[in-house]
Amino acid sequence: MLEIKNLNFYYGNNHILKNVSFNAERGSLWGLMGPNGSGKTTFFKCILGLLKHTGSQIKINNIDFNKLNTPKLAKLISYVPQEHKPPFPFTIREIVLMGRSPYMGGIFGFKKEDYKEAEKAIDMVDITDIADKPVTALSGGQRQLTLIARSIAQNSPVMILDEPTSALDFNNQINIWKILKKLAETGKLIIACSHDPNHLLWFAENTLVIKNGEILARGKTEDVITSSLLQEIYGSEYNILKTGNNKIIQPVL
Amino acid sequence: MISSISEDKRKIIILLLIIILFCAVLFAVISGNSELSPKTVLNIILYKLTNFSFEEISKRDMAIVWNMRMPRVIMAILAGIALSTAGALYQGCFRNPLVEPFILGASSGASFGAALAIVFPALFLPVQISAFIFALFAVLSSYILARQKGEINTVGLVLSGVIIGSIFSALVSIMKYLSEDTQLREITFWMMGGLYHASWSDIYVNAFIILICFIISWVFAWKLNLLSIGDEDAKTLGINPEAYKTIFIITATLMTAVCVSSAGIIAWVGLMMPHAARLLTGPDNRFVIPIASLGGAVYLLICDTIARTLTAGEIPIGIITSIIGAPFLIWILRAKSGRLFN
Repeated sequence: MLEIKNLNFYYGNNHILKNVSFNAERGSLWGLMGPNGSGKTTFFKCILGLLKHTGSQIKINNIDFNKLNTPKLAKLISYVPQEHKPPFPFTIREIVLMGRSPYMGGIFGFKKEDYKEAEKAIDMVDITDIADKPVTALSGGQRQLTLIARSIAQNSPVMILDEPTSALDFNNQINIWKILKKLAETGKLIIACSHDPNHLLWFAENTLVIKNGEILARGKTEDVITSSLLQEIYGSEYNILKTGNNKIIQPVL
Repeated sequence: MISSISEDKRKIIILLLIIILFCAVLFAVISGNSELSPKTVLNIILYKLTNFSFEEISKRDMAIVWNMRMPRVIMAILAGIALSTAGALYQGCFRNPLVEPFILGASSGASFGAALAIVFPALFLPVQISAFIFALFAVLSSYILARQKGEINTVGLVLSGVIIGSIFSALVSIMKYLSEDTQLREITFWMMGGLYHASWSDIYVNAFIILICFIISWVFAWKLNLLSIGDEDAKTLGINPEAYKTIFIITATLMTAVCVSSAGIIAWVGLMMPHAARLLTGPDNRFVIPIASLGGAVYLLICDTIARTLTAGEIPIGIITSIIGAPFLIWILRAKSGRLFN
């Protein structure tokens, strides 16, 4: 469904992404991992068309991204950026409704259905009770949940999330991964990056590992995340322990 | 913490403001140095609108109401709409609630144009047209200066606005230095703003440009919401940020330039009204734009009426808008900042 061929990105003279090629099918949850500065966010921004890259080809359902205009692209792919505070105090409801923008027309061009979709998304990440509060008065974690709800409301077959759990408490981190897994089961393609490889082991069916702008490994998460890989990308020793059906990563202290 | 208000309440606010504006218009047309009874004034308006009159109208009364007061009233409304809408547009585009319509140098450009026409009347176009051209020229210069690789960096744009503004201020000083006493007085008064030049022919041009720009701004108000969150957010939500930024800046600049060229520099309105509107309805620009416009119209109408009736002479309107506006802004900053911005 999503095909990326020979993606290269330069920042000045720095070769940030080197010949990245990647395919993924609908209905799967991909985790992306890599050390700081490995090119994860750049990779996402290139896919979304936020950064200009030359010579590479990105296709979604066999349609070349270059042939799509901005509103059409927004119906196919949505983005949860790293949490940030907007300068104006929009409420959660208003921010989530913004996810319906690609579907609107005219000044007051939202239909009843758009409000319903926004409400559904708010309900899904469980922020209904604070939905009328301005996002500027919320915690970073609540803003992150709002952005996830906005992306859900956008209802695109592909969702890209840049560290969606970075500002959340432990329970909310787990909840978000559960929601992402559920969304993938409805037929979406979800790609999310995380700095906690445990999350990928527990929830992501597939994992893509990037280091220095190159793909280091890709495939089934349990095959990809091994103690030798962790040693290779982080430079320290880790053990992977088995507990029941799950695995957990433990640093060698 | 506060919660959002319903769309019904917002519509009621708009309706109330329309009623207040209507009352302010009547009040403004009735007030003035020549004492005319409300009945006479209403009769003249009725006659002009419907050609029907229930009493004899003297030519003098007709001239006072229809040729002197009415154009000022309408010009005040148009200037209020223009400055408030332009303020909301610039604030949204720059993601900065403290930006005002003159941020890109429109006021200094216009001042230079006006000064040029006042000091060299034989060489240049009429004051108003010269002010308009130089206002546009100043903003265009800031815009071109800030544009790099086809993208506009908003911080760069504010910075280039400051630079262009200060260049034109220096040029205005040169004009002042070169001018004779009466010209110097004229330049100074022009820069303090005033609606006393308003005539029907000005109004047709102003109304045409300002109302079209207002409608464009209102139609695209939701896009302005997206833009005010961030360029990347806007793009992934399906709008092209560069294209809309250009549309909004052109629209806001046209309104500001038309307004400044016929009314001079009227401070505070463009900064204050969008804030007042956000206080009433929240930051959704679909409501901020109409509510700020109506508020700006009422505010300028009241200030202009004070300007021409408080003393025997005429006080420049810029002085009044600042004296009333500054305390309002201080109050907002101290008491309500959490509701308006970070």
